Amino acid sequence: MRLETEQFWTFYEWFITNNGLLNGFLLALVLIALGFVLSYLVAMLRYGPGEGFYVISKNIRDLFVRDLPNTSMRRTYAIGKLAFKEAIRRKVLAVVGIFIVGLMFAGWYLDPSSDVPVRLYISFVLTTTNYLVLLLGLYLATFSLPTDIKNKTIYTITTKPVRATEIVLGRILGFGMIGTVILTVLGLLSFVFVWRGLRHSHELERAPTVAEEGLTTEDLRHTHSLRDGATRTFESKGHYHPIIATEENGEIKYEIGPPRWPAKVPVYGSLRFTDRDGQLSEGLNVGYISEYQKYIAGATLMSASWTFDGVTPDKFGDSLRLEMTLSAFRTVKGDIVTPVKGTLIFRRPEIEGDTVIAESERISFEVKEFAVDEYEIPRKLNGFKNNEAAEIDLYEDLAPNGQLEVIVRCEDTGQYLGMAQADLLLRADDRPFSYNFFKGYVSIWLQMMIIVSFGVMFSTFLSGPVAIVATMATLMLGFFSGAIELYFEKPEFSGGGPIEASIRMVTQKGAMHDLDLGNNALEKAIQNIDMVIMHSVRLLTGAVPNFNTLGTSDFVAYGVDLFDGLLLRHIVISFGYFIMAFTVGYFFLKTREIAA
Amino acid sequence: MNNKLFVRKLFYIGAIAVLLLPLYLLGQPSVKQNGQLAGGGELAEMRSRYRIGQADLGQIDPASESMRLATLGMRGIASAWLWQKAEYYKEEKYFDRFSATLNQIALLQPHFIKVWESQAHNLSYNVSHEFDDYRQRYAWVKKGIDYLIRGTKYNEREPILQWHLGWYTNHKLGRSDEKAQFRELYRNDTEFHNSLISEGLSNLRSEAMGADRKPDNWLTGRLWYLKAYDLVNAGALIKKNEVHFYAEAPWSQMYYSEAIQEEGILDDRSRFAWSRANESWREFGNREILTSWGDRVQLRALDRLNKELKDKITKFDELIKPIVPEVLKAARESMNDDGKFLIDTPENQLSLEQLQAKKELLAATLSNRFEVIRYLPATQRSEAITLASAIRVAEDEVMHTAQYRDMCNYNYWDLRSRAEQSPVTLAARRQIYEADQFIASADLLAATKRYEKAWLNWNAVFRRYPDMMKETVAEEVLKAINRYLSATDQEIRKDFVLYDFMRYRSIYDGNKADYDNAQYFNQLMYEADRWESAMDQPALLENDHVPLPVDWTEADMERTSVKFLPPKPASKAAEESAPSGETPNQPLSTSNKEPNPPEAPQVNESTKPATDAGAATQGAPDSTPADDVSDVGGRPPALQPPEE
Repeated sequence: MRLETEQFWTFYEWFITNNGLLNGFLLALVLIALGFVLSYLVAMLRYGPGEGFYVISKNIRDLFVRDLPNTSMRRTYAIGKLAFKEAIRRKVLAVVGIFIVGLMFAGWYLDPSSDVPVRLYISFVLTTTNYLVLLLGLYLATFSLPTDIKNKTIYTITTKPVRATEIVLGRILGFGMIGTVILTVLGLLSFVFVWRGLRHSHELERAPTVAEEGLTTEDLRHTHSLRDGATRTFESKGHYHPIIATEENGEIKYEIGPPRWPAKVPVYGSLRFTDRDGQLSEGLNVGYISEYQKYIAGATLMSASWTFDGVTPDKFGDSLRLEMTLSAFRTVKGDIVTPVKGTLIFRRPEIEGDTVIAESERISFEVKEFAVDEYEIPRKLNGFKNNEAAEIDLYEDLAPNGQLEVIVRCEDTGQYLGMAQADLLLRADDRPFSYNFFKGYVSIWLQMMIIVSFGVMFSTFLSGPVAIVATMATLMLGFFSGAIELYFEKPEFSGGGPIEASIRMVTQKGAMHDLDLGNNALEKAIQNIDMVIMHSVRLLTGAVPNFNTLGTSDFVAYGVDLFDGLLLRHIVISFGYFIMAFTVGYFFLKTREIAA
Repeated sequence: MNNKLFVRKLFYIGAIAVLLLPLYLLGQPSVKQNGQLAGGGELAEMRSRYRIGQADLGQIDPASESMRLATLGMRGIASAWLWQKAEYYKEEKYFDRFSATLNQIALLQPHFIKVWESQAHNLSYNVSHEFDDYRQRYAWVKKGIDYLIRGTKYNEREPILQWHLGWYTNHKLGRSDEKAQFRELYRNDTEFHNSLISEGLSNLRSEAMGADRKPDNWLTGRLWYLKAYDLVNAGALIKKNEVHFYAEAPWSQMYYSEAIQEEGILDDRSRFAWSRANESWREFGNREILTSWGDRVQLRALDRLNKELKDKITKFDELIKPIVPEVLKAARESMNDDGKFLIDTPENQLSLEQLQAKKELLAATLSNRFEVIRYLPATQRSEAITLASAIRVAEDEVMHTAQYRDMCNYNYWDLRSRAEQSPVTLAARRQIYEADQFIASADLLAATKRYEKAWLNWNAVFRRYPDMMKETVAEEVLKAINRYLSATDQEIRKDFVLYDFMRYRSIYDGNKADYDNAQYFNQLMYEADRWESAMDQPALLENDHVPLPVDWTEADMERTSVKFLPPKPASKAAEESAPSGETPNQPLSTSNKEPNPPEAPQVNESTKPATDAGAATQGAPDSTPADDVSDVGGRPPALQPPEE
């Protein structure tokens, strides 16, 4: 599973250290200033400069003095309830039917015998749910208000003592509620679908002994091995099975339970590399397009070292579970049968002068690519204290302050080991799969609420079809902001801006070919106009939520417990966008004559 | 008002009906009559005529159909998006998702052959090599093969997919760096064998069993090729050069034979494998191959065609013989002074160069047969025109056949598959194999003895089949010689039995035109048949446990009764006869560096073997270059006298 650096940040690191709060504040300021200027310009055209300023000021004052303080939750709830009922009347529950039909046929396309079927299944249900729910929110939120205004049914509300804040808030709340109900149903259906699709059972084929691991029978094209005395099998295809061993007449009988997909709670460390001289560096690129992993050369001083915090016995127990997903790169095939070898060293991060205070002896390992390589490191290790050979204690000698450094080196000359920060982790504990699954759905819920808020906001001043296009544009910008960045980062690969791209499509010229219109001035003009358009779009993308970063389906699919800090961050971001949409929606509704 | 509306509606209905008519004519589905589809609109007829209806193309998969329907006409966009996604997943090494995306692409574009070809290649080649563990690599190679098998279900009339299946099974499993591991894994992969059997290779366990009675990848690949050929026989089109298309099945048998030899199976099983390979190569040679000129050739027919051509030319030359002076006289008029001089001057007054120039001039003048015919009497012209036309056709046939033979190296494989059946070749190979085993177990003495026996046998093989010196077999021998030299810490001496071979190969690898080298090769070709009898005495050479040193003694020779003359130890006489600056023991590089120049042939009675040598040389042609070449450094100038 890929994790980017910012995903590792705790909530505090994001909010304070990495300026999450400041950036949000600045964005709000810019939007407020922009909103004020635009509103004033519109008001000035309608009422003149003096009167216009007065109208704007009055609206702002109304928000803070009258409408916000006097907003009634009871009335808001009533409007929300109406929105809920309206949504039901508009047969939105049909979405559930569509989803069920989708699930019925999904089995045709999902192969339970693939490498890690749970990833396919979960990716499918989460992605489908995500898209369905976002489209639902889009449809509900954008058409409701304009239809009411068009049919003049809005007057039945505005003639009552209802404030604009309550109308906007009520709509968001009501559509949020129906979305939540549908999302819950879809979530439950998905859970059942995944469970039914992947359930299977194994029998014991070979009982474990002290000398040899046991083996289960094959089902869904996989087996599990198990250790003598273990309470669960080893993981295979992303899951394990609990084992219940009972003794009958002196004979041990093993019962293998249903599959369990763990949501592991990883502890990640910060990663740094050293170069061939042992100096700090950034690792090597061995020529892959992807730069996610960096490589270290074998039989040199190059190393990758992770520094972990909070390595304490109460968190990890008497042994440390370490997982690696390193990759190997060979410059020579060499010995084909033997995998590339590496070395693990556990070290106390603090150094006295040039002397390492304590470190373990070198633990050799053979790389296992594209699979989780699990190690259980005992508390007592052979190693060195102040350069003297000694038995060392993992916690007392190596991590007395809870800080532990894990160093990886490549042993083989001419071969390389590749790694990213998330490729070596300490596994503290497992949480239930269902809990992680729930958190994945919370992420979807947050995205839905953002779309509902934006939809309601646009519907306060645009007609239904235009509002849906505007919200859709927000959604697209949120999903494809990466493509816009590509234009600026690698212009030679992007195929140009919208005008150039259209010409290329018509003339069937790939991105790597010159545009070659036979007129340099015309080409330059097109590229300049494109540049202006793309800069404008880029500015806009800064104001819309990035739905890619809000998506967390990989965590659930890969069985990694969604970090609480990350989820909290997403909640705060979503709340920020909600506030923004609510405020903008309020002002626009106030300026319309229907509003009270 | 209402009337107007009604009229308008009627108009609309009429317009719809009119528009429906061509639609009906075009799109009316065909109906089944007596179990066959018949009738229907133009589109249905075209589908039927070109056999491109869904059912004709291959299996109809509800998942694929529903997915295509679900894209609501935007299948192209969806496919392009999925291809991009797949590429991204591959670059970022999300291989499980990559594989899942390929399945979706296949459902959207099941009849697009390039999908199956390129994505199977991605799986078996590009993704598999990303894994460090050869077992994982093997699993991904199998994924590519499975993917292709799925493709064959959707495209039952596309032999190219079956052909690729053969290629993947053969070359990816049998030619990769990890071929030893792959072949072993495949041999024992019962689950995969079962799935192949259920997917159409029902004869896997009868016709693809290797030497150890387990399915072999090369023989399995051959079965896929045969399936592709069956499809072509049933009327499917070959979208590939036919030589390469049809050569692969017999090559599979050849490569299988090579592979088991490499794995140490050097007995009757490998001889039998080569004999089958030769058989299938001959079958291939008899097959009619479509050329890019549009005619069909049989690769085995070259000798016959050459003979027929020669006969026709002779006949034509006889016909025009009386008019040649007249033709030359006419041609002389348009020649320059040099040409006129050559024509006018009698041959005995011309230098060698002038003679050659005259020969070429005459050939050029007479080469335009249709022009020459004009000088014939009218009564003979018809016959001459028929003959000249036949010659032109025959020349084309010969040229096309020869070019297509070159494309698949027909001659070499024919020769190789015959040579490898020989007990002497087998013995030579086994001795090298055993010597390598001895080296691995650090028994240098035993290894040396085995090697030295092998060199004698290889010498016989190269003399019987000189073409083998040009190919990969020779490279293997050169590598073995290197191992031998480093094991024995020696340098090559001129009395080494394979010295001539090494010298030849050294110049050959240097890619230099060397007259002496070419002459040496020609001489070997000339002598080759005479070594046939020696090749028929396998049992004597098989005497593994009797050391056969490089310098055989007389007793050794008597015991084996093989008349290979031993390389002689460097004698003073030979030393004297060597050109200045070169000693008989001068080392010869085994690399591609510039070789020592071949020596001028020296016949020196004193260097001839003292015993059987005299008798052995008696039957050899007098003063043949072979005598000269073989005498250099005391290598065998002759052999058992050919039975005449």
